[in-house]
Amino acid sequence: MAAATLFAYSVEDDDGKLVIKVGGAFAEKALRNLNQGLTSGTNVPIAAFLSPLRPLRRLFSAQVALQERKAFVSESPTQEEAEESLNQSVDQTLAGFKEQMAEFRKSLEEFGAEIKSSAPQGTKRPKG
Amino acid sequence: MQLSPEESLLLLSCRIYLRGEDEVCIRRLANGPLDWDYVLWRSEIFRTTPLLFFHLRRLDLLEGVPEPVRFYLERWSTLSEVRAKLLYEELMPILDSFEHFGLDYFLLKGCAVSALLYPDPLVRPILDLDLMIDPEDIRIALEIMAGLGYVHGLWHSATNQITRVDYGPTDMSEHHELPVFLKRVHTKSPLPRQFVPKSWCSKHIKCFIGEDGTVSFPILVDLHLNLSVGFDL
Repeated sequence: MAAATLFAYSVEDDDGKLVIKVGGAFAEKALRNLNQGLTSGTNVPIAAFLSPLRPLRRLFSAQVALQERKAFVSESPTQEEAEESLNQSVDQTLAGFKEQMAEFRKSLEEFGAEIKSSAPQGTKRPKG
Repeated sequence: MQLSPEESLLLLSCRIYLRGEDEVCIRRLANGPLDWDYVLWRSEIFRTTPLLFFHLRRLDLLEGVPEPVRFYLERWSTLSEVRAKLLYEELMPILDSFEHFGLDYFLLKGCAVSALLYPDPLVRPILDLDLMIDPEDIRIALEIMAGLGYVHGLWHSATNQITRVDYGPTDMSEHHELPVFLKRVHTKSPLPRQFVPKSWCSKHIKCFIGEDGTVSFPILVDLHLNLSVGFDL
């Protein structure tokens, strides 16, 4: 398994001066953002500077945390909400489908000319 | 057992590659009396509607299909195709990131099958992207997915909103996949909102067509860790 460094830093004492060295893909990105901001003379919001690093807080946990912050969380989803969002099975009855088809036919009759002229162009492909 | 003409057509058209005799059968069935509502209903449940449309178009059989059925097939396929295209576009940065950080992976299920085996990968409906990763890479994978804008959550078809879900610290050793990753992407809708049945948006294709003419799709990504959990004998 190949390893990759996302963010690393070290602190060294250089004749009484603290020298902080950083490395890794996220650190390099953050430093690039900082340098660009400083070079262009624009304000460098510290939050934006740190944004690539925020998720790294989770890496310091022994366990895997699957969500970064509680503040993002709304109420717990119900079983119905979870199923509606994630379930890929379809259990529509034939009667239910016929109602849906009747509505589709009605929309065709109401907007006949419009719907025909809106026929998508991207569906035509060479016959395979 | 004698299959009905409708079931025969569904069975024959659920594969992408057909034998010559299969095509002869499809021609005969499509030109004969058929309960097209039944065919559409079953193809929608099995998500083979675009395959059915693909074969009817390829075999020049659409002229004999009742107009509403033809439009239904065409529109279903068009919307599904746009979804599949966006999913593949979203797959690329995920793979690029995995490779950049040295993660081993392979594709699973729909995105692997259609990309490798279909002459046109967009014909096969895809609701999510499935990738197998090494459980040792969970933490890096989480960072990558977060960096690409994905969250853990649920998408609501009626509002196009995402409810974030906090799963907390989790022992993944008993799980065969990480909780689903989710983000929304949008593009110009190929279809007017009023011509898209609600069930397409909520179940079959999963999309939200706004009044501004855009269509949003929830991009669902499953990162699998272990094929054997739950399947042990």
